[in-house]
Amino acid sequence: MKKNILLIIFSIFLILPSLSYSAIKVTSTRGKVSYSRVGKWSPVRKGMTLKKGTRIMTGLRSFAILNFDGHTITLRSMSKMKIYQNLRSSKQSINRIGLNFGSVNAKIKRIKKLKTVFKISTPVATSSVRGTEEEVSFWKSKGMKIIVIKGSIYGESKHGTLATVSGKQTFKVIPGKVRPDHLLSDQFHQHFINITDPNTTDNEKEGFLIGSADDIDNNDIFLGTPFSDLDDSQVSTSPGSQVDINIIWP
Amino acid sequence: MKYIIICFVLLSLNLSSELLAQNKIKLTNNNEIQYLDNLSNQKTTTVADAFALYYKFKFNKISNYNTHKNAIVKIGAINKEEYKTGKELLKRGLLAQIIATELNLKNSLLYIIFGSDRYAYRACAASFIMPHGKSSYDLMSGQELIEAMHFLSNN
Repeated sequence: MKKNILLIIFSIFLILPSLSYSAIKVTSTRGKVSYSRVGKWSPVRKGMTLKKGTRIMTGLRSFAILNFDGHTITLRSMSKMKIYQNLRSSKQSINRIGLNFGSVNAKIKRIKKLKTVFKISTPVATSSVRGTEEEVSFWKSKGMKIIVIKGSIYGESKHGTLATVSGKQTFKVIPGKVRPDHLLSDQFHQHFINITDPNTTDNEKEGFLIGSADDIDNNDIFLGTPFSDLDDSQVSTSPGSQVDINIIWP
Repeated sequence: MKYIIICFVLLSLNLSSELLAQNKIKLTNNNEIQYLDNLSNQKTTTVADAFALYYKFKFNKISNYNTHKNAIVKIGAINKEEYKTGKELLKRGLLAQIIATELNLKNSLLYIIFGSDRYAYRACAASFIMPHGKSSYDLMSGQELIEAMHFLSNN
Protein backbone atom coordinates (compact mmCIF):
# COMPACT_ATOMS: atom_id res chain seq x y z
CA MET A 1 0.00 0.00 0.00
CA LYS A 2 2.79 2.38 0.98
CA LYS A 3 4.67 1.49 -2.21
CA ASN A 4 1.63 2.31 -4.31
CA ILE A 5 1.20 5.70 -2.66
CA LEU A 6 4.88 6.48 -3.19
CA LEU A 7 4.64 5.43 -6.83
CA ILE A 8 1.61 7.69 -7.38
CA ILE A 9 3.35 10.69 -5.75
CA PHE A 10 6.54 10.07 -7.76
CA SER A 11 4.62 9.82 -11.05
CA ILE A 12 2.78 13.07 -10.28
CA PHE A 13 6.13 14.84 -9.88
CA LEU A 14 7.25 13.34 -13.17
CA ILE A 15 4.13 14.48 -15.03
CA LEU A 16 3.83 18.01 -13.59
CA PRO A 17 6.94 19.59 -15.25
CA SER A 18 5.86 18.38 -18.69
CA LEU A 19 2.45 20.06 -18.37
CA SER A 20 3.53 23.69 -18.09
CA TYR A 21 5.50 26.15 -16.09
CA SER A 22 5.54 29.90 -16.25
CA ALA A 23 8.44 32.31 -16.30
CA ILE A 24 8.00 36.04 -16.61
CA LYS A 25 11.26 37.83 -16.02
CA VAL A 26 11.79 41.50 -15.51
CA THR A 27 14.45 42.42 -18.06
CA SER A 28 14.74 46.12 -17.36
CA THR A 29 13.09 48.91 -15.41
CA ARG A 30 13.40 52.64 -15.11
CA GLY A 31 11.90 54.95 -12.52
CA LYS A 32 9.09 53.78 -10.22
CA VAL A 33 7.78 50.33 -11.09
CA SER A 34 5.85 48.24 -8.58
CA TYR A 35 4.03 44.93 -8.44
CA SER A 36 1.21 43.67 -6.30
CA ARG A 37 -0.39 40.29 -5.68
CA VAL A 38 -2.43 40.72 -2.54
CA GLY A 39 -2.93 44.47 -2.50
CA LYS A 40 0.32 45.88 -1.19
CA TRP A 41 2.64 47.45 -3.75
CA SER A 42 6.29 46.43 -3.71
CA PRO A 43 9.12 47.66 -5.95
CA VAL A 44 10.04 45.62 -9.02
CA ARG A 45 13.70 44.81 -9.46
CA LYS A 46 15.56 43.79 -12.58
CA GLY A 47 15.89 40.02 -12.86
CA MET A 48 12.97 39.10 -10.62
CA THR A 49 10.35 36.57 -11.70
CA LEU A 50 6.67 37.43 -11.73
CA LYS A 51 3.75 35.03 -11.56
CA LYS A 52 0.24 34.75 -12.87
CA GLY A 53 -2.14 37.06 -11.01
CA THR A 54 0.45 39.81 -10.50
CA ARG A 55 -0.41 43.44 -11.16
CA ILE A 56 2.33 45.76 -12.38
CA MET A 57 2.21 49.52 -12.46
CA THR A 58 4.61 52.22 -13.61
CA GLY A 59 4.91 55.81 -12.45
CA LEU A 60 5.90 59.05 -14.15
CA ARG A 61 8.82 58.81 -16.60
CA SER A 62 9.07 55.05 -15.89
CA PHE A 63 8.82 51.82 -17.81
CA ALA A 64 9.26 48.09 -17.33
CA ILE A 65 10.40 45.53 -19.89
CA LEU A 66 9.17 42.00 -19.26
CA ASN A 67 10.15 38.76 -20.95
CA PHE A 68 7.30 36.28 -21.38
CA ASP A 69 9.14 33.14 -22.58
CA GLY A 70 10.95 35.04 -25.32
CA HIS A 71 8.20 37.59 -26.03
CA THR A 72 8.93 41.16 -24.95
CA ILE A 73 6.35 43.40 -23.31
CA THR A 74 7.20 47.00 -22.52
CA LEU A 75 4.86 48.63 -20.04
CA ARG A 76 5.01 52.37 -20.68
CA SER A 77 4.84 55.06 -18.00
CA MET A 78 1.65 55.69 -16.00
CA SER A 79 0.28 52.28 -16.97
CA LYS A 80 -1.15 49.30 -15.14
CA MET A 81 -1.53 45.72 -16.27
CA LYS A 82 -2.28 42.28 -14.83
CA ILE A 83 -0.88 38.91 -15.82
CA TYR A 84 -3.78 36.51 -16.35
CA GLN A 85 -2.08 33.55 -17.95
CA ASN A 86 1.44 32.39 -18.70
CA LEU A 87 1.59 28.81 -19.93
CA ARG A 88 4.41 27.12 -21.77
CA SER A 89 4.80 23.53 -22.86
CA SER A 90 6.71 21.74 -25.59
CA LYS A 91 3.85 22.34 -28.04
CA GLN A 92 2.34 25.68 -27.11
CA SER A 93 2.92 29.07 -25.51
CA ILE A 94 -0.18 30.82 -24.20
CA ASN A 95 -0.05 34.22 -22.59
CA ARG A 96 -2.78 36.61 -21.61
CA ILE A 97 -2.44 40.03 -20.02
CA GLY A 98 -5.04 42.60 -19.08
CA LEU A 99 -4.35 46.28 -19.59
CA ASN A 100 -6.22 48.31 -16.94
CA PHE A 101 -5.05 51.62 -18.36
CA GLY A 102 -2.02 53.04 -20.14
CA SER A 103 -0.09 51.51 -22.99
CA VAL A 104 2.14 48.55 -23.78
CA ASN A 105 4.40 47.63 -26.65
CA ALA A 106 4.32 43.93 -27.47
CA LYS A 107 6.95 42.17 -29.59
CA ILE A 108 5.77 38.62 -30.10
CA LYS A 109 8.10 36.04 -31.57
CA ARG A 110 6.88 33.53 -34.07
CA ILE A 111 8.42 30.22 -33.10
CA LYS A 112 8.17 27.37 -35.59
CA LYS A 113 6.34 24.21 -34.48
CA LEU A 114 5.08 26.03 -31.41
CA LYS A 115 1.52 27.26 -31.19
CA THR A 116 1.83 30.83 -29.88
CA VAL A 117 -1.11 32.72 -28.48
CA PHE A 118 -0.63 36.15 -26.94
CA LYS A 119 -3.68 38.12 -26.00
CA ILE A 120 -3.90 41.64 -24.61
CA SER A 121 -7.32 42.37 -23.15
CA THR A 122 -8.94 45.63 -22.13
CA PRO A 123 -12.48 46.29 -20.85
CA VAL A 124 -13.69 46.90 -24.44
CA ALA A 125 -11.70 44.60 -26.73
CA THR A 126 -8.93 42.03 -27.07
CA SER A 127 -6.02 41.83 -29.46
CA SER A 128 -4.58 38.49 -30.46
CA VAL A 129 -1.09 38.50 -31.87
CA ARG A 130 1.41 36.14 -33.41
CA GLY A 131 4.74 37.07 -34.90
CA THR A 132 4.08 40.78 -34.63
CA GLU A 133 4.89 44.03 -32.93
CA GLU A 134 2.09 46.25 -31.78
CA GLU A 135 1.34 49.19 -29.55
CA VAL A 136 -1.80 48.83 -27.46
CA SER A 137 -3.32 51.55 -25.34
CA PHE A 138 -6.49 51.83 -23.30
CA TRP A 139 -8.14 54.75 -21.51
CA LYS A 140 -11.76 54.95 -20.34
CA SER A 141 -12.29 58.19 -22.28
CA LYS A 142 -10.70 57.06 -25.54
CA GLY A 143 -11.17 53.31 -25.49
CA MET A 144 -8.72 50.77 -26.86
CA LYS A 145 -6.34 51.55 -29.68
CA ILE A 146 -4.04 49.09 -31.42
CA ILE A 147 -1.33 50.30 -33.79
CA VAL A 148 0.32 47.46 -35.68
CA ILE A 149 4.01 48.15 -36.21
CA LYS A 150 4.93 44.82 -37.76
CA GLY A 151 2.93 41.83 -38.98
CA SER A 152 -0.79 41.57 -38.39
CA ILE A 153 -3.15 41.01 -35.47
CA TYR A 154 -6.75 40.12 -34.80
CA GLY A 155 -8.79 42.67 -32.93
CA GLU A 156 -12.04 41.61 -31.33
CA SER A 157 -14.46 43.92 -29.54
CA LYS A 158 -16.42 42.63 -26.56
CA HIS A 159 -19.50 42.55 -28.80
CA GLY A 160 -17.78 40.02 -31.04
CA THR A 161 -16.75 42.22 -33.98
CA LEU A 162 -13.53 40.84 -35.48
CA ALA A 163 -10.96 42.62 -37.62
CA THR A 164 -7.55 41.72 -39.05
CA VAL A 165 -5.27 44.70 -38.65
CA SER A 166 -1.94 45.30 -40.36
CA GLY A 167 0.19 48.03 -41.93
CA LYS A 168 -0.98 51.57 -41.16
CA GLN A 169 -4.39 50.45 -39.99
CA THR A 170 -5.55 51.20 -36.46
CA PHE A 171 -8.01 49.14 -34.46
CA LYS A 172 -9.98 51.49 -32.24
CA VAL A 173 -12.88 50.58 -29.99
CA ILE A 174 -14.50 53.38 -28.03
CA PRO A 175 -16.55 52.53 -24.90
CA GLY A 176 -20.25 52.54 -25.72
CA LYS A 177 -19.76 51.83 -29.42
CA VAL A 178 -20.65 48.38 -30.72
CA ARG A 179 -18.35 48.46 -33.75
CA PRO A 180 -14.72 49.50 -33.92
CA ASP A 181 -13.84 52.67 -35.85
CA HIS A 182 -12.81 52.47 -39.49
CA LEU A 183 -9.36 50.86 -39.73
CA LEU A 184 -8.03 53.93 -41.54
CA SER A 185 -9.72 56.44 -39.22
CA ASP A 186 -6.36 57.80 -38.04
CA GLN A 187 -5.33 58.48 -41.63
CA PHE A 188 -8.54 60.42 -42.26
CA HIS A 189 -7.27 63.12 -39.95
CA GLN A 190 -4.99 64.17 -42.75
CA HIS A 191 -6.66 65.79 -45.71
CA PHE A 192 -6.35 63.53 -48.71
CA ILE A 193 -6.20 66.46 -51.08
CA ASN A 194 -4.91 69.96 -50.44
CA ILE A 195 -5.49 72.63 -53.05
CA THR A 196 -3.41 75.78 -52.81
CA ASP A 197 -2.74 78.85 -54.90
CA PRO A 198 0.42 78.53 -57.03
CA ASN A 199 2.00 81.48 -55.20
CA THR A 200 1.58 79.95 -51.74
CA THR A 201 4.90 79.56 -49.95
CA ASP A 202 5.82 76.53 -47.80
CA ASN A 203 5.50 78.66 -44.65
CA GLU A 204 2.02 79.73 -45.63
CA LYS A 205 1.02 76.13 -46.30
CA GLU A 206 2.26 75.26 -42.82
CA GLY A 207 0.24 78.14 -41.46
CA PHE A 208 -2.94 76.69 -42.95
CA LEU A 209 -2.45 73.66 -40.71
CA ILE A 210 -2.48 75.86 -37.58
CA GLY A 211 -6.15 76.51 -37.98
CA SER A 212 -7.05 72.82 -38.19
CA ALA A 213 -7.81 72.54 -34.45
CA ASP A 214 -10.37 75.30 -34.75
CA ASP A 215 -12.48 73.15 -37.02
CA ILE A 216 -13.16 70.56 -34.36
CA ASP A 217 -16.68 71.76 -33.74
CA ASN A 218 -17.59 70.26 -37.08
CA ASN A 219 -16.11 66.82 -36.70
CA ASP A 220 -16.58 65.89 -40.34
CA ILE A 221 -14.39 68.74 -41.52
CA PHE A 222 -11.77 67.99 -38.91
CA LEU A 223 -11.60 64.33 -39.86
CA GLY A 224 -10.81 65.33 -43.43
CA THR A 225 -13.16 65.08 -46.33
CA PRO A 226 -12.32 62.37 -48.85
CA PHE A 227 -12.14 63.89 -52.31
CA SER A 228 -15.08 61.85 -53.54
CA ASP A 229 -17.37 63.61 -51.06
CA LEU A 230 -16.48 67.16 -52.16
CA ASP A 231 -18.95 68.85 -54.46
CA ASP A 232 -18.32 71.69 -56.93
CA SER A 233 -19.26 74.36 -54.41
CA GLN A 234 -16.43 73.29 -52.12
CA VAL A 235 -13.74 72.80 -54.72
CA SER A 236 -12.71 75.73 -56.87
CA THR A 237 -9.29 76.35 -58.24
CA SER A 238 -7.68 79.21 -60.13
CA PRO A 239 -5.51 78.41 -63.15
CA GLY A 240 -2.15 77.03 -62.13
CA SER A 241 -3.22 76.01 -58.61
CA GLN A 242 -1.14 73.37 -56.96
CA VAL A 243 -2.90 70.16 -56.08
CA ASP A 244 -1.20 67.85 -53.56
CA ILE A 245 -2.59 64.34 -53.38
CA ASN A 246 -1.78 62.35 -50.25
CA ILE A 247 -1.96 58.63 -51.04
CA ILE A 248 -2.22 56.36 -48.03
CA TRP A 249 -0.82 52.87 -48.71
CA PRO A 250 -1.61 50.62 -45.74
CA MET B 1 -36.13 70.01 15.26
CA LYS B 2 -36.94 68.75 11.76
CA TYR B 3 -35.22 71.74 10.19
CA ILE B 4 -32.10 71.18 12.30
CA ILE B 5 -31.91 67.55 11.14
CA ILE B 6 -32.41 68.54 7.50
CA CYS B 7 -29.72 71.21 7.74
CA PHE B 8 -27.36 68.76 9.39
CA VAL B 9 -27.93 66.14 6.67
CA LEU B 10 -27.43 68.69 3.89
CA LEU B 11 -24.25 70.03 5.49
CA SER B 12 -22.77 66.56 5.96
CA LEU B 13 -23.58 65.62 2.35
CA ASN B 14 -21.86 68.76 1.14
CA LEU B 15 -18.79 68.11 3.27
CA SER B 16 -18.58 64.44 2.30
CA SER B 17 -18.69 65.25 -1.42
CA GLU B 18 -15.68 67.51 -0.98
CA LEU B 19 -13.86 64.87 1.00
CA LEU B 20 -14.67 62.21 -1.60
CA ALA B 21 -13.33 64.48 -4.33
CA GLN B 22 -9.99 64.69 -2.61
CA ASN B 23 -7.53 61.88 -3.07
CA LYS B 24 -7.37 60.14 0.30
CA ILE B 25 -3.64 59.56 -0.12
CA LYS B 26 -1.36 62.54 -0.59
CA LEU B 27 1.46 62.22 -3.09
CA THR B 28 4.85 62.01 -1.42
CA ASN B 29 8.29 61.07 -2.68
CA ASN B 30 7.78 57.44 -1.66
CA ASN B 31 4.20 56.46 -2.46
CA GLU B 32 3.82 57.35 -6.13
CA ILE B 33 2.41 54.00 -7.29
CA GLN B 34 -0.02 53.67 -4.42
CA TYR B 35 -1.15 57.26 -4.98
CA LEU B 36 -1.69 56.68 -8.72
CA ASP B 37 -3.56 53.43 -8.08
CA ASN B 38 -5.87 55.25 -5.69
CA LEU B 39 -6.21 58.22 -8.06
CA SER B 40 -7.21 55.99 -10.98
CA ASN B 41 -10.41 55.04 -9.12
CA GLN B 42 -11.45 58.61 -8.31
CA LYS B 43 -14.39 60.12 -10.18
CA THR B 44 -13.14 63.64 -9.59
CA THR B 45 -9.76 65.12 -8.78
CA THR B 46 -8.54 68.38 -7.35
CA VAL B 47 -6.31 71.12 -8.64
CA ALA B 48 -3.73 70.13 -6.00
CA ASP B 49 -3.49 66.63 -7.53
CA ALA B 50 -2.79 68.04 -10.99
CA PHE B 51 -0.21 70.53 -9.72
CA ALA B 52 1.56 67.85 -7.66
CA LEU B 53 1.77 65.44 -10.60
CA TYR B 54 3.03 68.17 -12.91
CA TYR B 55 5.70 69.16 -10.41
CA LYS B 56 6.73 65.53 -9.99
CA PHE B 57 6.92 65.15 -13.78
CA LYS B 58 9.04 68.28 -14.13
CA PHE B 59 11.38 68.02 -11.13
CA ASN B 60 11.10 64.36 -10.06
CA LYS B 61 10.23 65.31 -6.47
CA ILE B 62 7.36 66.50 -4.33
CA SER B 63 7.13 69.67 -2.26
CA ASN B 64 4.22 71.64 -0.78
CA TYR B 65 1.19 73.01 -2.63
CA ASN B 66 2.53 76.54 -3.01
CA THR B 67 5.76 75.33 -4.59
CA HIS B 68 3.78 73.15 -7.01
CA LYS B 69 1.52 76.10 -7.85
CA ASN B 70 4.46 78.45 -8.43
CA ALA B 71 5.84 76.03 -11.01
CA ILE B 72 2.55 76.26 -12.92
CA VAL B 73 2.51 80.07 -12.56
CA LYS B 74 6.08 80.18 -13.86
CA ILE B 75 5.18 78.49 -17.14
CA GLY B 76 2.31 80.93 -17.55
CA ALA B 77 -0.59 78.49 -17.34
CA ILE B 78 -2.33 80.27 -14.44
CA ASN B 79 -2.17 83.57 -12.53
CA LYS B 80 -0.75 83.82 -9.03
CA GLU B 81 -4.11 84.91 -7.57
CA GLU B 82 -5.95 81.81 -8.78
CA TYR B 83 -6.42 78.49 -6.96
CA LYS B 84 -5.30 79.62 -3.51
CA THR B 85 -6.20 76.41 -1.67
CA GLY B 86 -5.93 73.72 -4.36
CA LYS B 87 -9.12 72.07 -3.14
CA GLU B 88 -11.04 73.20 -6.20
CA LEU B 89 -12.17 70.39 -8.48
CA LEU B 90 -10.00 69.98 -11.54
CA LYS B 91 -11.61 70.97 -14.83
CA ARG B 92 -10.60 69.87 -18.32
CA GLY B 93 -9.81 73.44 -19.39
CA LEU B 94 -7.21 73.97 -16.66
CA LEU B 95 -5.49 70.65 -17.36
CA ALA B 96 -5.50 71.43 -21.08
CA GLN B 97 -3.98 74.83 -20.32
CA ILE B 98 -1.13 73.21 -18.37
CA ILE B 99 -0.43 70.67 -21.12
CA ALA B 100 -0.75 73.12 -24.01
CA THR B 101 1.62 75.54 -22.26
CA GLU B 102 4.13 72.84 -21.36
CA LEU B 103 4.16 71.38 -24.88
CA ASN B 104 3.84 74.77 -26.57
CA LEU B 105 1.05 73.52 -28.82
CA LYS B 106 0.62 75.61 -31.94
CA ASN B 107 -2.15 73.82 -33.79
CA SER B 108 -4.92 76.20 -32.77
CA LEU B 109 -4.81 79.76 -34.05
CA LEU B 110 -7.43 80.82 -31.54
CA TYR B 111 -5.34 79.38 -28.69
CA ILE B 112 -2.27 81.25 -29.93
CA ILE B 113 -4.29 84.49 -30.02
CA PHE B 114 -6.46 84.20 -26.91
CA GLY B 115 -4.68 81.55 -24.79
CA SER B 116 -7.84 80.65 -22.88
CA ASP B 117 -8.76 77.27 -21.35
CA ARG B 118 -11.43 76.72 -24.01
CA TYR B 119 -8.97 76.96 -26.87
CA ALA B 120 -6.26 75.13 -24.95
CA TYR B 121 -8.66 72.17 -24.86
CA ARG B 122 -9.17 72.48 -28.63
CA ALA B 123 -5.42 72.43 -29.17
CA CYS B 124 -5.12 69.32 -26.95
CA ALA B 125 -7.98 67.59 -28.77
CA ALA B 126 -6.36 68.36 -32.12
CA SER B 127 -3.13 66.80 -30.83
CA PHE B 128 -5.08 63.68 -29.72
CA ILE B 129 -4.14 64.28 -26.09
CA MET B 130 -7.80 64.69 -25.11
CA PRO B 131 -10.93 63.26 -26.73
CA HIS B 132 -13.05 65.40 -29.06
CA GLY B 133 -16.51 66.65 -28.32
CA LYS B 134 -15.98 67.48 -24.65
CA SER B 135 -16.20 70.72 -22.72
CA SER B 136 -13.47 72.67 -20.99
CA TYR B 137 -15.78 72.82 -17.96
CA ASP B 138 -15.95 69.02 -17.54
CA LEU B 139 -14.65 67.70 -14.23
CA MET B 140 -11.66 65.42 -14.69
CA SER B 141 -11.59 61.92 -13.27
CA GLY B 142 -8.44 60.41 -11.82
CA GLN B 143 -7.88 58.27 -14.88
CA GLU B 144 -8.24 61.26 -17.21
CA LEU B 145 -5.60 63.13 -15.20
CA ILE B 146 -3.31 60.09 -15.37
CA GLU B 147 -3.95 59.87 -19.12
CA ALA B 148 -2.82 63.46 -19.64
CA MET B 149 0.30 62.88 -17.53
CA HIS B 150 0.95 59.65 -19.46
CA PHE B 151 1.05 61.69 -22.65
CA LEU B 152 3.46 64.21 -21.13
CA SER B 153 5.60 61.43 -19.71
CA ASN B 154 5.90 59.54 -22.99
CA ASN B 155 6.59 62.53 -25.23
